[in-house]
Amino acid sequence: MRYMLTRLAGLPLTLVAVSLLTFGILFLVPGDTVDVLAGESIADPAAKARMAAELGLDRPFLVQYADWVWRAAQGDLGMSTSSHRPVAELIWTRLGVTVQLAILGTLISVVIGVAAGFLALRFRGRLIDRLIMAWAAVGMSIPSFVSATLIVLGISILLPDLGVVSYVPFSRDPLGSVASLMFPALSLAVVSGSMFCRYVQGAGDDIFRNADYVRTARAKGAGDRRVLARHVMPNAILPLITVAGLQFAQLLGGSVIAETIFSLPGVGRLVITAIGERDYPVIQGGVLVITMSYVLLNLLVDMVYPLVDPRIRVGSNGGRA
Amino acid sequence: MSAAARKRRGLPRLSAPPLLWLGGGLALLILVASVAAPLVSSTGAFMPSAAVLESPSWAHPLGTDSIGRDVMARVFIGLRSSFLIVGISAALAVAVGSIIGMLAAYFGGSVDWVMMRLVDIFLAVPTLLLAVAVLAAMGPSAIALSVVLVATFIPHASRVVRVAALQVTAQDYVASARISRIPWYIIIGKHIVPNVRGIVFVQMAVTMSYMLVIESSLSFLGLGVPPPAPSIGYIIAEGRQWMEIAPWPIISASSVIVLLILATTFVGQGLDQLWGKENRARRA
Repeated sequence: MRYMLTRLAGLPLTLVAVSLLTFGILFLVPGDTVDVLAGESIADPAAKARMAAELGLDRPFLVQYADWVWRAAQGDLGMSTSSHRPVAELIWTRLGVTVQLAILGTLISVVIGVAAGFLALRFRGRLIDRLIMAWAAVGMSIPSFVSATLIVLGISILLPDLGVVSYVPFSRDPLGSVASLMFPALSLAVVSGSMFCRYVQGAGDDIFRNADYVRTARAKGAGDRRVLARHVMPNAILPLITVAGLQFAQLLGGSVIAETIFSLPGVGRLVITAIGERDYPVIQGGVLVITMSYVLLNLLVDMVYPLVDPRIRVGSNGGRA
Repeated sequence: MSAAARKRRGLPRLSAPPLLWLGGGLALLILVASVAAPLVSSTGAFMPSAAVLESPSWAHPLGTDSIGRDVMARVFIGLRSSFLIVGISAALAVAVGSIIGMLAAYFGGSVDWVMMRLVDIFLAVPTLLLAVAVLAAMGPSAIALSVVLVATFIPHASRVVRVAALQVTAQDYVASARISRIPWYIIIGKHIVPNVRGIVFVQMAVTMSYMLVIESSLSFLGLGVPPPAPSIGYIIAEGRQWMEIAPWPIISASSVIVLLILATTFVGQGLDQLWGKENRARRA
């Protein structure tokens, strides 16, 4: 409980730090901030002063920051300097893709991770176990831009007819939409699937060795398979809720790469495109939205988990001997 | 890294010394190759030539890229810059992080509280995206990249070292040193540093493997060392355009960076098991 309160108390600080950093990006850009925000370089001093006043850049930094936060809280993230449309609108139309991709990536990772972890536990100490765990170690070391690029390469060599599938909006064709995100989600699942697999295997192995209830079940004559399915797996999978929640948040931020490689119209690609166009309000807005979601999701996961797993609340050592 | 954080990240638990040998050998091999290979290459990593998009041959063991530069030379020079940037950044991040961690553990109380709340803030934000934003603003350069990497990883190191240092400060000999009015910097230097040294080296290797992922991802996005200097990420990004005709750059750069990340991870785990065991034995 005390931990929860500390965690909650940290939230405002984190939000201030994140927003301050995101806002401050503007002032890291070399050159004059008025030019940066106007999207062009203004030579005439009078015109420049007028522009500065219009953009509010003649005010002290903290006032500008407060004003920016106040507007952002109301859903106004400023105007894009390249497309001259509201940043909030640009982000809103792309957020769905990013969220959908992160959800799908997490789901695939959980399925792969649990299945592989189950197999490794089922054949504990045998060749299958070692192969799975060795692959998981390698999988953890593959950056997502590498796995995504190799998947695209694989498709172009093995399935040349398929081409690169373009994104289908969820509202138009839900099934087709999920299908169009299959490969991008798979590229995200290489690392997190391996991580989940290691997690399930590690937790399961620990339970097999140490848990009282496994010894009890064995004493009552339960076979290896029954112990695994009824006693070990449920307890090994439960903590995955936390890991999967955190991973989902991670994928929201990490989808920059998959969106760029698979040309998906998500927030990450919006930010990357904006970098090329030096469109700083869009960069700020995209980063702010994703980062805030990440922070809030992390908090949510930490808050929800004790409700699911009462052992955390009681503070016992989780059924270990 | 705390036990919980280690579990969350799911670092592997294989047996110790073989892992260390395997990882160390692999890393050393790649390091030697990255220093030696550009010297052997005939066309070089920078000079364009007429031999465009060639398949692997004796002259170009990994083929050539779209403007006729030797891929092997580029891959290994890219690796060298990754090694250099990540090595220096990891050393800096872990050094600063360790100092923060030891100070927080030694002084405790409000110093500890403030430092750890700051660390919490940094740990609660998504690394890659913020790095992208800051680098996009500052403009890509090796220095900007290192600054971002160092700033990102100081919190991780400080948290891990703090936990280790807390166990040492709880020992009687630290208490008696305090009572004897020995100045804090001598206590830290003589008693705490030697006892957390193992953990610091483990953290160094672990940090390197995470930094390699981020460094190569950022250079893939065009935010790493600016071209024409080759970087692994950039070689892969560049190669995507021609990958159906010439997949060599992508395949070779990908395998080499994955091997290097794997090697540093193995070294980290090998060291952890080596010194972790030692530490546990000493404490028992």
